[in-house]
Amino acid sequence: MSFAHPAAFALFALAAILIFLAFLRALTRPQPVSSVALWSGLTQSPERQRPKLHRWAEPILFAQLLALAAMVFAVTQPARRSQESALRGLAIVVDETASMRTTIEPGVTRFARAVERARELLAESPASRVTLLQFSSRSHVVVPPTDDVAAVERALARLEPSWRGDGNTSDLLNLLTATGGTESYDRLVLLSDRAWSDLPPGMTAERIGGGHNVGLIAFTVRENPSGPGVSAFLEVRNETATDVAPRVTIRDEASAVTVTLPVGAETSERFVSPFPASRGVRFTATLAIDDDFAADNVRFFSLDRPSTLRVRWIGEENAYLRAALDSSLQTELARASEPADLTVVVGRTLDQLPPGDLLLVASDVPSLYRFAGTTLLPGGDARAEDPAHPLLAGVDPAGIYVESLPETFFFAPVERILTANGLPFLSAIEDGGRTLYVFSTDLRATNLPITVEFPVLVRNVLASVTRIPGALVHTWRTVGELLEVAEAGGLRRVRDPDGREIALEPGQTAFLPERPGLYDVETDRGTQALAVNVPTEESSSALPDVASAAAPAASVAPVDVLRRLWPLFAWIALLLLAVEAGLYVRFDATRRLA
Amino acid sequence: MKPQVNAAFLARLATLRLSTRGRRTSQLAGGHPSRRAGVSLEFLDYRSYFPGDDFRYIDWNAFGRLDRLLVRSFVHESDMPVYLLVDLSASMSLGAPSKADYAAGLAAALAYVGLRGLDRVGLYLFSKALHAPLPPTRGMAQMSRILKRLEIDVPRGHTSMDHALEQFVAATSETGLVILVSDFFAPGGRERGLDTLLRRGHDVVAVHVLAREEIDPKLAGRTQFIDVETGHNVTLAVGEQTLAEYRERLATFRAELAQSMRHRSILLFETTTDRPLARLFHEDFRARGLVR
Repeated sequence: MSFAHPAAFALFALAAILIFLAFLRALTRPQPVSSVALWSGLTQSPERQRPKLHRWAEPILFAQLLALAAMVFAVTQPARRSQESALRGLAIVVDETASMRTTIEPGVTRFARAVERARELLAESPASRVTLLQFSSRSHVVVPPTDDVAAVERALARLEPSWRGDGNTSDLLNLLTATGGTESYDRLVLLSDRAWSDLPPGMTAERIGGGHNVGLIAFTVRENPSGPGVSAFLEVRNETATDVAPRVTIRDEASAVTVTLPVGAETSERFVSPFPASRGVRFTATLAIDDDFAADNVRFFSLDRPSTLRVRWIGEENAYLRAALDSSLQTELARASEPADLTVVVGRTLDQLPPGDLLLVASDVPSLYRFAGTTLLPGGDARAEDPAHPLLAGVDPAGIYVESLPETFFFAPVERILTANGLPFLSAIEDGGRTLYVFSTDLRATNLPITVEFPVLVRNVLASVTRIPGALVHTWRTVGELLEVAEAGGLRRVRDPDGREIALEPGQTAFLPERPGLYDVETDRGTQALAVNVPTEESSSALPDVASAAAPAASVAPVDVLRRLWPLFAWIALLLLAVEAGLYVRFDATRRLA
Repeated sequence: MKPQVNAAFLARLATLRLSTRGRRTSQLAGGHPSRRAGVSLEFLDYRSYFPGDDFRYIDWNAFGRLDRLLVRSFVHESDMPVYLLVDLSASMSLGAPSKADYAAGLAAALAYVGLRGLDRVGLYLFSKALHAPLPPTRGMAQMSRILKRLEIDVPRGHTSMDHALEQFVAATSETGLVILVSDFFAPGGRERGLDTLLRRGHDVVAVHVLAREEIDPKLAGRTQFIDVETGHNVTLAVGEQTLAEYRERLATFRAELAQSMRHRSILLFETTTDRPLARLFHEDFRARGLVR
């Protein structure tokens, strides 16, 4: 037997204190009597003056000494080393991906079967060192190498499958290297519902299969480019041997639409379902079918609709320009102290440029360009310098007439987009990584505000200078994928699909969703929904039937096995303390009465 | 307290009746012989007929033999209240079982015997004074009241027997059978109270209860003796000699108590907490006429 902390044997010295206290108690025994007069003045026995343990004190002291001995042994952490036929090392890796939630028989999931198999492995392959890992897109060590099999069994009892997707076998190799290297294990077993071909050396995969699945493997929503509402794009995979025609219900915040989608056996079908009544941004598609993997019967999607454009206005307000801005995007005027997405300057001379994107109308910036005095030159029909310029998409310059405009001198690289009578009317100036768009003349000196081209031109300008979310942008993420929201402004609050707030550190700009659903992300720019789904590959339960590699014969040799005995001594100490308490109650009633 | 009685034990007491040595007087007819002649089944004597006597009691056989009108007289059986006075001072808490529990069991058994014999039975617990008394009442409902009182009360305080007995005499107007259960460790004395009881005309019976540990203590070594009533203490190195002297002193105390009771014609029973109550009733009480 060996001891981890032999110095703790010094605690046996406490026995002297126990014995001393026992004799101290024995020095004078209190004895309640009916009348002290009967005892007063009696002859004393000198030989009885010395302390003597009472009958009741002896078993109590004995129990105390035994309990102390057991506690001291427990503190020294004794261990018994014996030669046993066992593996040097056993590593069990349990696949925790979402597909392991598939039910393979009533009340039993693939994950539960994997845990059960792990217990069997512990029993059938005794090892002097056992490591338990979980495998997914975020693989991790559950129990580092230990000889405490009971601790591994307790950890197995606590294991839960995640909603994440498949991991990388190289991550698995890294974890095994960190826990001693694959060569330190005689047996490495991956319990998974997948067939793996690139496992770490020495590792064998045991397939935990079963269950049938019909699932939604794709779900997106797009705004109708030509009309109201949205269109939902769905893909349904049927891995059963029979044709199915499940109903799919698509919901937003206010309305729903239900469609029936026939899918043949062992095939996938794609569908587009119009949802003309929808004005929402949070969508849920629910597949009404009773299969063995329910996690992919619901998918989520959030539509990133254009947000409000904050405009700072400098100079006189121009109702036509404001109307054109509003027709392109929802705008709101920003105060001078507030950040702005776009600054519009009308009829001013700017010695110093404000930050951000700029749209300048009849305003000069002496550091970049200036107008030649106040004299206006006659203009004429506008002409596109480059008809293919993105700013002119959908714009017919021939319909634009400029009455008069100044001559402009540029001191920075400039791109002339529209000219009239050879003079620049609309120009683009590059300035330190940003673009300034300049209308050289007052818009009232043109027919632009009353043309159909004006809103289109303004929208093109806005699309160029600001980060306008595209109307057809679609978003959804997968569980376990780090969600960066820095571009949406500072992260203030995140609520999970149940409405519970996720704790965030100050300055945190990303978070890790651990379950599917619609998350509410509140940033400085407002609140937006983020859809998180189970990874698509988890829906594939009909996995390629790749035979597991034959497990190499594990070398079982006599190895030193260390059995820790301190829990036994700790229990004995507790038992003895209980006995001591019982003895005290039993024998000390008289003293307590006094 | 926990009266040490059960249904089986009480069933063995069902045939017993309390009896008194003297003739009691009371306005109510009952089961105890009175000094007054009266109506009962127990023949007492003949006397000459006087006008107004009940014709039914003329002994016509005697008239035939003696040619005199004689009237049969019978023992007048009067009602006798039974007062159970139980010491509940702190000293009664000692012993295993405690003297208090033993006394409670004894009081409950005596109450049962009395109530079964149609006596009125009252319970008076005392220490330095009377606790809330239960005046004598007939009927088995009184039994449950007595048991409840015995169960809820606990030994406490020091003994002042003289004062408690004088309080008892002042609180009761009717004489009867007083059964006093105590360890008689009364620092303030007991004679005055006993004399007051006797002067009032009560028929007094005393039951002296001691714990086995008090008669034969198993002690050795340095011991601090603490008086549970006064808190006074004395520390002794106890040896055989000490214990022998203690036993001698206790014997003297018991002898003096017996002498005191004899002097007052008080029937004294001595018992210990390890003596079964059934034996106390069927051997001691029956042999000396407290029950019949």
